[in-house]
Amino acid sequence: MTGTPAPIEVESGVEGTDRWRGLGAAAILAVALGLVTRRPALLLVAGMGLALVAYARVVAPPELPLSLSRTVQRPADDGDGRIGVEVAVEHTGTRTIPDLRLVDGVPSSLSVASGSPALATSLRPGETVHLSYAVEPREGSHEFGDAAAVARDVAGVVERRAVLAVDGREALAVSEASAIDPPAVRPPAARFAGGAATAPRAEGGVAFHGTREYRPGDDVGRIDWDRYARSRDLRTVEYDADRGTTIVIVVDARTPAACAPSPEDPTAVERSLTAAASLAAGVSTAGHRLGLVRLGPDPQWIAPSRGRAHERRVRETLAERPPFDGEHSAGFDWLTERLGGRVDLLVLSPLIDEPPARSATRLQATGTPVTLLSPDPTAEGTPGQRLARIEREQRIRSLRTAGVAVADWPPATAIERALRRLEGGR
Amino acid sequence: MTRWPATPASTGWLAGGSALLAALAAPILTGTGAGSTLAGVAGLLLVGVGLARRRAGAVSLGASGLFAGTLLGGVSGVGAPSVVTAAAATVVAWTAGRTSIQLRNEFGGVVTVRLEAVHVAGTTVLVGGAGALVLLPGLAPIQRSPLGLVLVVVGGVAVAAALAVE
Repeated sequence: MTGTPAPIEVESGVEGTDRWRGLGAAAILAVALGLVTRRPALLLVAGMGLALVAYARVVAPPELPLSLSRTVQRPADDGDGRIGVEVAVEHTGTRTIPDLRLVDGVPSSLSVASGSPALATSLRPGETVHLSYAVEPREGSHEFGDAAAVARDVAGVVERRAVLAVDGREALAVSEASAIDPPAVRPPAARFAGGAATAPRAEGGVAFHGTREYRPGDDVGRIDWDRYARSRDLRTVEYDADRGTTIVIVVDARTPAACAPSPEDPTAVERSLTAAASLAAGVSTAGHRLGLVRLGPDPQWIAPSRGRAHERRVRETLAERPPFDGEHSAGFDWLTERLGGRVDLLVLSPLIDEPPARSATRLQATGTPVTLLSPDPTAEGTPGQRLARIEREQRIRSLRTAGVAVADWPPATAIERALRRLEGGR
Repeated sequence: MTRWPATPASTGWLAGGSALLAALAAPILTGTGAGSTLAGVAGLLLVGVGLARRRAGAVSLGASGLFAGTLLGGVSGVGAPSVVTAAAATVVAWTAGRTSIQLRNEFGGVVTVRLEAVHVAGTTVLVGGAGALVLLPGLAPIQRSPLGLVLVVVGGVAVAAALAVE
């Protein structure tokens, strides 16, 4: 079953299906014919018909003691980008449901690409049946609805309809952010030497750097075959892009970062997520390998990669609004444990407390280039707020002194403007 | 126990096949004369066409033909067990046939074989039980009287009328 599912309107209740409509009239016809022709066999046929009509009048449809849970799966990096949905239906009652028909509440704005959101089966007590399907992702926020269920007796003459709540994820957010070019991330050595900032180049727009001796494992496509043809000298072409094309965007969504100048303003976490979506689009457009880390409750780590499915997964993660609090919350130590190899970090943090500044300084000092985009969540209404602002400004100065590029991003200021200040060295 | 959806799905084939078999049984049991055979075969064909073209109306019309053949067979003197069994087969064909069409229309591509198996078996047992209910008293060695027959008929009509009224 594919395509957009038809809207399901089910009113809870019990009613007949009219499956045997006309059976009573047929029985009366048989009685009449049996009397006229004096054939007792026809009276027996009428008796059987009456017994079935009586069954249809007295039978009660099965109850619907079902427990439903829905799981929405992110698309695999090497997959087709579709979002998988699985619904587990468990029979928690004590009597078999001979005829169970159920349709999941697929958002009307999404279309089912494969599988089916519906099932029709019989279900024994304690048994669990799964239905699985995949939807085509589409920009926007999509709300899953309740499931519609119908249970019928064994002959299907009477049915019970119900709308059942489904545990699990209820909303699916897919966003298409406008791309913003990522700021140039300078290697620490170049920055300390006062050298010009150089952005890592994309594979698609590579600048020739030189050649070096071939090493086993080098990409065959990068061997300088012309030179080999001339001199039998096997050398590998190097591009500027080889120096660093992996950018990991880090969003500080820890509980302390969920602050704003006023209750009406978006929090620093919300601003960071929005900006990160645009920056991620820019990183992907430029051809860099992109990774994503979301710190805080329900932390997320998406290893650097490329490809449409990967980009979609990053977008979806950034479109989610993380919980404000949770049992498992990750800080910057969690981030440093996962970083491996050469990566450039683009950190979005309000710098409202010490951990992000401390980690950025340490990472920069140990050879991992860090650029910080900091949405300013401070205000000046109270002495406490003014103190927080002064402390934050002090952190930014300390970071810049340590060689970390910091773009201070005031409220109501376009992100592009904040990034231009960064490029201008302010 | 946990079940996962199986593939590929042949939605409705079991109920549809059972309906055809039941529809075939009715004229075989009662098609002793030209009228009953003609009505039964016409009913069988209509059930088949209805199943093939997913027309519930055609299946109901076909079931009417099967029932007409059954009644004509009863009028022409076919024995009570055969007539009652043919009527029961007609109800099974009607019920299972419509279920098959409904599943194919509403759940195409979904594996429904278990629902169909339970439905066909359950309907057969239910209708068979009703048939047995009316046939078993005939086996008892009792004296039949015209007054008793009239009382049974009047009672049956009264029950039918009461059940038919909403």
